[in-house]
Amino acid sequence: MLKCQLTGTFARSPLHIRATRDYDRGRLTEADLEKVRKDDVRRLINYQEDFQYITDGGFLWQDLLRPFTFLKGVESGALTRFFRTNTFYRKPVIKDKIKANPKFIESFYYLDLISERRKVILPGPVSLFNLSEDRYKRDTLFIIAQVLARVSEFLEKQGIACIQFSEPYLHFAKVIEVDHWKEAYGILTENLAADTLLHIPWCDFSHLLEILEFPVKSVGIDFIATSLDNLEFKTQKKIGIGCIDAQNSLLETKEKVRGFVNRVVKKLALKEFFICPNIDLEFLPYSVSLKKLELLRGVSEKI
Amino acid sequence: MLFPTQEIGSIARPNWLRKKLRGVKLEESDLDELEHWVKFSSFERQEELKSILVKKELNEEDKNTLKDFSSLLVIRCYEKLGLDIIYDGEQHRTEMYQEPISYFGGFKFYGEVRSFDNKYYRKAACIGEPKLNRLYHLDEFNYVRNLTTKPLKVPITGAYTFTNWSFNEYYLKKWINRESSRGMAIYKANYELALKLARNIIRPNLLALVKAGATLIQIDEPAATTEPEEIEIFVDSFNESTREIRDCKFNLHVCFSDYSLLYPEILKLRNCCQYTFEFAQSNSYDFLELMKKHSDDREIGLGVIDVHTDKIESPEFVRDRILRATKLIEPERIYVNPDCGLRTRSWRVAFKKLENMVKGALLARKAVS
Repeated sequence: MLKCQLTGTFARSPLHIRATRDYDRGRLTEADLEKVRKDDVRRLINYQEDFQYITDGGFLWQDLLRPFTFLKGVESGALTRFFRTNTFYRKPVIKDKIKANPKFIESFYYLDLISERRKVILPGPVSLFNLSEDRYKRDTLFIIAQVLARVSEFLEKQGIACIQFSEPYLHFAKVIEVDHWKEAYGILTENLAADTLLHIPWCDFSHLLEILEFPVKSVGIDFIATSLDNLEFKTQKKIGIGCIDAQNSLLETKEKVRGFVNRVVKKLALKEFFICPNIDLEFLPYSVSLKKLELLRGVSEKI
Repeated sequence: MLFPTQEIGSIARPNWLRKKLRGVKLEESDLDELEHWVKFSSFERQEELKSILVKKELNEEDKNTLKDFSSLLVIRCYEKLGLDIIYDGEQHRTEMYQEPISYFGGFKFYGEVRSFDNKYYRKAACIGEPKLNRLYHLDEFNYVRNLTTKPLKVPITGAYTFTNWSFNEYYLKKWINRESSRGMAIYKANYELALKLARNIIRPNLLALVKAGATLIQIDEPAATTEPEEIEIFVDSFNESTREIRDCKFNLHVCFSDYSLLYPEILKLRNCCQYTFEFAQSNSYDFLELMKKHSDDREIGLGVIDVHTDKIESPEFVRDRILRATKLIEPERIYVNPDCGLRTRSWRVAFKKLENMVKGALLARKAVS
């Protein structure tokens, strides 16, 4: 297996984009759109054939939090800018105690199309809590952690090998509440045996080294936002080296990325690691995201 | 007069315009809608407009004339509603990023990226030094200024937003080999791109608009707070764009952002009289406290209308929002506007919202006096 993974939503193909537009305008049926979407999923699965884990590209997720706006107790709120992008998400508005039958999450993945080494991506509890509007306010972070725990346990039973929790909020947190966050992760991963990855896009990880003590098996670091020079730690955890820049269309050379990965592994004396994009590849146009995917493979082949 | 009312920029292109530009046949409902606004605004060139709409195929001149008519119709509606400061709802423009960039040299489009849900925009990459191939708002302004006696506010996308919304290949390639830290290379690359855009693209447009008679220009910088550590770049590019341009009042429009991130750097904006921000959706009155704390005496364009919902705010609701602001800032410094452009709403919703905004400002004036 290549030491690489995808760590976010993938870009939609031009055909897929056109299909979603046509669907919105009533020129395409749901079934026709589904066919185009599944073609994208299958293509992406094939691209990941020899990756550590295989994702479905997140094409059913309109944003990282959207599925959770459908839960009882939560409503879909205002369009809100999603961090360092010109992309927006619907702010979940938590109005009551959240109630969820974890089975709801099934409809947001194409699990049946991935035969092995299945990986799913969920929002981490800290981001889901902080990017929502909380009008309930009774230990909501921990309630969210419980909901995500039930969802994750359900997914594990469906044969998921790796569950990634994405935490884009951590970099932007005005108040660092590591103890609270760690407690939430304790609730979340208590009963999980699957590989658990906490991925932190956009974040300068040198400010958040305590995350390495969280009860997860792997931690994904954005090495575009983090300077290796400022990073000193020792860990037994598997580290995701997010070094393929998904914020810029400029294509890195394989040699340069490979050299960087070797420096990271050597400096941090990493025992286990994998290579990944720093953020979701969906922030690049499709043609560029495919080139970055090829780069990811090319770099991993000789690591 | 207290609490002058103003629009932010865009209004949706009506169906009759969008469809005719795409060569799609109009439905009766499209013509009924047009008829409604023609009557509402006492639009004076109905017959000429209809003579184009009945044509089966339109040439480029016809299409441009239709945009002109739509622009005039928006203006007449604004006049009827009683807005104090207006423009034309940007009926000549398709959007604020992709279209202007098509007039830049040094940029290339790779494809679309998602904005939200199933909405996408074509994102460009800077692959060479930015050059202005053509002034892109001057013709529009020259047309609009002859249509009304109302004060006009011309919206234009700012240099930093173009920088932030584009891939910066050209300058990153240059700086990546000079800086040991990638973060610093990105910062320097973005700084250089923003300043080049300010100097080569935005400034010539502003100078031309002012020379043509523009006295109020709104610089749209929705990306201003996207990268908190780059706010200095936004400020310096704004200052370079507007440097020593006299006889024109510049205001800054930012929306759906954490405005607190702007301080203290925005105090260094040299040629900016007003902040036109979104307050309705985010209820971000804390920003007014921050202005006070920093002794920032600029005017505020108070967003009192939520542009992301069809729910119509009542005049009393608008009044209360204005009066709430007067507790934090002198009434003389308050202008009243929607949070952002209303292009995501239908004309019926948008104009009803604006009507109530005007009524709300009137109620607030009475309450204060």
